[in-house]
Amino acid sequence: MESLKFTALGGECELYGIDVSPAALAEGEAWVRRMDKRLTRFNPWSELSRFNDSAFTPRSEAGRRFGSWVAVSRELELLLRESLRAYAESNGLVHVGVLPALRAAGYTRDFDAGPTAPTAAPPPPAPLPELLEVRHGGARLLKGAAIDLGGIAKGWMADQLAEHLGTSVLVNLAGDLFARGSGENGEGWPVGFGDRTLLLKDMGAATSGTTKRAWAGGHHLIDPRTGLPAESDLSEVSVLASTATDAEIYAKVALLLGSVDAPKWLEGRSQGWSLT
Amino acid sequence: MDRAAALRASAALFAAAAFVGSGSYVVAHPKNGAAPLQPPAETQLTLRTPAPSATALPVRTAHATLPPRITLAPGVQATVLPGITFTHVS
Repeated sequence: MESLKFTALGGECELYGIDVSPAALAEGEAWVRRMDKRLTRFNPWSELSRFNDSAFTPRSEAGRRFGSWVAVSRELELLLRESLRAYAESNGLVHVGVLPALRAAGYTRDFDAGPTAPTAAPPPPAPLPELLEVRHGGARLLKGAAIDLGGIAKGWMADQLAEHLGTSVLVNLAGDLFARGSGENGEGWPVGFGDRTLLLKDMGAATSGTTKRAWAGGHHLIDPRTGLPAESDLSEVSVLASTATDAEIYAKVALLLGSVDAPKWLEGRSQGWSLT
Repeated sequence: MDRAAALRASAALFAAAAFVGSGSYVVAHPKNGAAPLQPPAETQLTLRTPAPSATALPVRTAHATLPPRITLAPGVQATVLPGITFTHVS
């Protein structure tokens, strides 16, 4: 079995593959790094930042509700479509348009640089389909809107990379992972989940929580219903699903719903969950 | 002498004067180790209490100590093997 570990997407990433060459894993790492640079909101020249900038149009266009249509890469287009799907699937709880609220809470720059002083919270974001429009090769934002792809990007990339790398691979991108195939012993990939180890086969897993990327008076998980850092009786939720993207969506929804409603919502959607 | 040549000559003269003048000043003002008005070196280290910063610093909260409540579908298999990796918040 070949493996490769590296840091990207704000965390530790691990690639494992059976009958996968080191060169293929290295190419996988290079792809993750390229996507990281393209999708980060902390680099003003990234594709995502330039897309967000398009929501601030000149005064001469003051009458328009939307910013300009912007040409987007195939990957960003797919991610924006995934974001709209996540919004619909989660009844609005997974909302990539919470970035203005996240900035107001103090998360304006790379977490290692520390939060900035909080500012007045903006009103909760409009429904995502009202502030984000996507067409073939292009997209546009409602004026003043801004998006952060966050965990959706990690989950989606784990799914894509696992599909690309081989038939028996495990891709863990900063905690969002997809296990493809049967692993080394033929029964599944052994993956830590809550306080157990599970054998995962063709399954995604993701964790959402408020215990990391937290600071005095706030954390990174914004509840789109309030526009404020979420208040939940759960601090961490891990979820299994048929893809890492879905696991990411389900974990966030479960955390926002809390310990009473989360199991009801997950039942029938998820293959397993861990609530803390 | 035409006007351009006069300008060139005066520029050259000015540059030469600046060179000579600044060189003379440096030579006439060597560093004087006995000069007054040098702040005395602090002989005793003073410990200062850090003041609160204008912005809050990150607080890495510890993971909850309560055991997680786990629900698994019938097809999901647990093992006693150690995991090669794990899902986590990042």
